Amino acid sequence: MNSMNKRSLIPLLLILLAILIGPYIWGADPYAQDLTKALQAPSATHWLGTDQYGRDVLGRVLYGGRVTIGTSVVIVLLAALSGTVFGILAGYKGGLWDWFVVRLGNLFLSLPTLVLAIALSALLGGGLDKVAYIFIILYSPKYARLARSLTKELKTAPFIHIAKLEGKGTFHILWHYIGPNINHAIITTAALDLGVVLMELAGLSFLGLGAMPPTPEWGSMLSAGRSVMQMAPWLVLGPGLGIVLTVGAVHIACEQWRKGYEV
Amino acid sequence: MKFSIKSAHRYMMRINRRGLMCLGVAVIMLLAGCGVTGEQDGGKKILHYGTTAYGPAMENAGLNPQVAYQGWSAIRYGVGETLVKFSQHMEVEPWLADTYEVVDPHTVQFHIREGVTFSNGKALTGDAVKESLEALVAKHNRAARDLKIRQITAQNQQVTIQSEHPAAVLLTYLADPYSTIIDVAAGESNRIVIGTGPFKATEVTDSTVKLVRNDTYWGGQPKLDGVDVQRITDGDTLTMALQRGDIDAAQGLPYSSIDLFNNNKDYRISSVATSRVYQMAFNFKSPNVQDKRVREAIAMGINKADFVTVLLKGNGLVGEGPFPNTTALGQMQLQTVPYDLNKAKALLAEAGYVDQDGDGYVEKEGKPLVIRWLTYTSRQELPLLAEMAQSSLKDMGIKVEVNATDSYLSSLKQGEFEIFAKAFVTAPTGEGSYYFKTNVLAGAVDNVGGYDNPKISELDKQLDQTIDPATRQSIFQNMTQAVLDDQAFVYVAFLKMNLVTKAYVTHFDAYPSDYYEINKDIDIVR
Repeated sequence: MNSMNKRSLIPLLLILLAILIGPYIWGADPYAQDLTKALQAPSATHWLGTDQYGRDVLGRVLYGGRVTIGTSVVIVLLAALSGTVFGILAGYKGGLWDWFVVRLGNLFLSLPTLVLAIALSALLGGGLDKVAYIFIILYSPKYARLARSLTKELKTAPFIHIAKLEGKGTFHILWHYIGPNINHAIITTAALDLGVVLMELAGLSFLGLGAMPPTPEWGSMLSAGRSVMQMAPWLVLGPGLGIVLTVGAVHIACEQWRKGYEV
Repeated sequence: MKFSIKSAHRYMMRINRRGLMCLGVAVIMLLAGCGVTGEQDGGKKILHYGTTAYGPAMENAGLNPQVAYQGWSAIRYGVGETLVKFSQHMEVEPWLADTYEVVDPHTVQFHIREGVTFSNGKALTGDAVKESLEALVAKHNRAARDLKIRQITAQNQQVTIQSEHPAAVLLTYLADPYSTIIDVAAGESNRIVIGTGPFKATEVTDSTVKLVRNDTYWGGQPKLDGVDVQRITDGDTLTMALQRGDIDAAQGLPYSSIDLFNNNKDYRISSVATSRVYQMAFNFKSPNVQDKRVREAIAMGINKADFVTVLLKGNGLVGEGPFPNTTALGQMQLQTVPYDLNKAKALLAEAGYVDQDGDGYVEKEGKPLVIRWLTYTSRQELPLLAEMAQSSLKDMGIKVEVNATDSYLSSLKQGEFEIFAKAFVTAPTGEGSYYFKTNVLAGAVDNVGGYDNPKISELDKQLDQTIDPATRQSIFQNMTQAVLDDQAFVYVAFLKMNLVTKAYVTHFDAYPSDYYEINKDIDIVR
């Protein structure tokens, strides 16, 4: 990674730093209600004002970032990990396993992720944990398909033949030869997906299907602030900026990382 | 298929470009579809009316008064009328009947107004009224239970109705929307019935009611050519629809939006105090709230004053009993529990709930006290109440899981709640027995928590035999106090109803009883 690539990580690192350390420095309890301070405009005491319940908006945005970004990262990591494992096995072993992974993958990929996620969340009753499970299930076929395709290509490579001739076992070949050669593609795809998942997660929370009150989450905060948006715009400013800046920072970082890797 | 990171990236970019194009097209189509009302109506005077109070969640999606709460829609939107109605002072006055006479304590004789026709041209006679009311009690359980009709006789324009109820009570039930008189012989088609109102329906769906003028209306020709009622359950969407001019009038705007229209010459606000209460009903089938001390502690944890002042922005009145103290019915000396978190904590401890594991939440025999708070979002302040209560109950060590959903009926039926918070009009007729018979008595249609107090049932029987208003009021007070003593319900606040219209809409005003909305005098004067 060159110096330009490293600089591109700065916005993302700053955001991560803010949500990890910020709540301790700022000190405001994101759950503490004080109705006497409801809907106060931004001031020296409350930099992003207060909400309908008199809660400090900045404090909630910082905590909300942990929930939104943290959940998105976990979703992408688990989807990528599970999908990759299935994909590698399908690509390497072939046969019925391959047929099953391909058909299942095609089925999921033919359906619009967000619409399906909304339908399933509504069916299961919503909640951040359920939404996370749904996204992991819906996103993992994408990685399975990618890993399968790359594994099938590598399977016939000379160095794999040599490894087999040397008597290396399947697990050894997958772990030491296939995995390291496909991980860049998986990581790049995962990085690109992070922003999308973050938006979709916030979207579901906005619809009331994700994080439940009083959990501060950027999507649900946007939704709650919407009713007083015209009179208290600061309620949507914080979480809205949080989503936009994070998605932008993730995109810049992974774009530069991808370029650096390709070069 | 050859796969590389570059090709994957190119593919994703292509998808993004395609997605953006689709989004652009969608936005253009959306903008093209929107327009200022009136311009699309071909010069006709069509009132576009947005409301939160229509739809399957309210069980009033349709116009057949003999089904669920559809009578509310029939009356509200000017399709049907009742024999008698409530005046501005909530007194019964003639409507389709031009006179009535109390023949004996349980019998009322009505004279049906001459010259009234159904919107299909058929004359309204005593027989038609009899037929309509008989069909009602045969099909509508709540109406049959309320009206308790012994006999109906009709001769020409005279109708005589005898009930088990005192005449005064019978009259109020005959003003209930389910008593809307319809042409039974014409039947129901696509949720449309034939009434006598100033408008007749052309299309009814779960979200819209389209109406055209009834040119043969007995009260004179309505000024509007038609009305387009749209269900807009989201308060913000409703607000913006009114601001944008997509609708001319809005009912059910969130209180947080009212300030946007105050002191604005382009809008007119009509407000009136109502008996619509935000109440919490406990589920007596759930072991978590079967202990009265727990219910009392929860009641003590609700800061009603702050809810009214801050979250309702003063557009309400703190509740004690089920009736607002601005009405004669609400003039009661009641003993209620105050907002007091310390006393509430002490009560919980007395009931055996203490924080044993130091997680901030109380437990009893290792089981945490979890309250599932079920509510819906079409009344935007209900989720606010839930979140406010969630915080104060947390301070007491009670974990509250809020489920604010408009598909709450299934959770309600399955008993998946400890508290169900809803908005309910407790005295639409200015008469108290309606509330107890629908919400409190064992087996009542809206007694979702399964509350059962034999003392209240006994008082209700006394009520049915009592005609004297002062004695009835005394019985209402005793019933209310019994409910409060049991901590079966918590009455949080009474709401003010606001109707906001464009300034060019005239004669469209909020009414003390929210049965009456669309009328023949509403006009659009640009």
